[in-house]
Amino acid sequence: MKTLSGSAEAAAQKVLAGEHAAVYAYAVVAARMSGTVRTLAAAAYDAHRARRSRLETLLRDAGAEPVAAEPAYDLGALVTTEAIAKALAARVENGVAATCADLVLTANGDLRVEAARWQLDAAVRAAGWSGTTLAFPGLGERAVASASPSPPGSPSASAT
Amino acid sequence: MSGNADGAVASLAAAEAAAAEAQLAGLAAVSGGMARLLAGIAACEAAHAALLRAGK
Repeated sequence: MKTLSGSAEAAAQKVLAGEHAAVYAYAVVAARMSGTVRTLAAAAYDAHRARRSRLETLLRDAGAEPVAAEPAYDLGALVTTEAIAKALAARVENGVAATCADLVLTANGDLRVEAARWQLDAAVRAAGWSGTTLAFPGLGERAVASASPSPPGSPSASAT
Repeated sequence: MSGNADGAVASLAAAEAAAAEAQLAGLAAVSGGMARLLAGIAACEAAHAALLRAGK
């Protein structure tokens, strides 16, 4: 069994929770959009599903029970236009980058580097959706991260 | 955009990508706080590279 520090395990659980939200959000975007946006969303969906599996394996190997997905997530708005879809996707990726940054902070060795690569992937994908980038993706992004898809009733969920 | 400008943008994108990789290479040897900062810088560089390649 591989070991994770308590803080690294908690951070990995937060990354996993973000991946659950990302998978949900991209499923909606892919279902509701067409053309290039759908293609990109489907690719992102696959990437986040793969990372979710990786995190679940990592946590189980460390003797932890991976956090489960919520039944639904508050996406903030109905995904009815390309602009809404792109804004949602960028917000999701910026939120993922923030959770990965916290795992970089708390993990060591190979997992730290792996988390940093996830952070880069999220930053690149966010830039693709928004056409711009943040000064330090994943850092100072707590406000953006809290606006990422969240389960209804959670502290960061907006009232519906 | 002229050929020279295209080449310059491609070179800049390659430099940004290489810089991001260089940041990652040093992560394991530094403190957690420094690793978080370097990863944030690397993420920014990688995003710059992607945007440059996309012509944005």
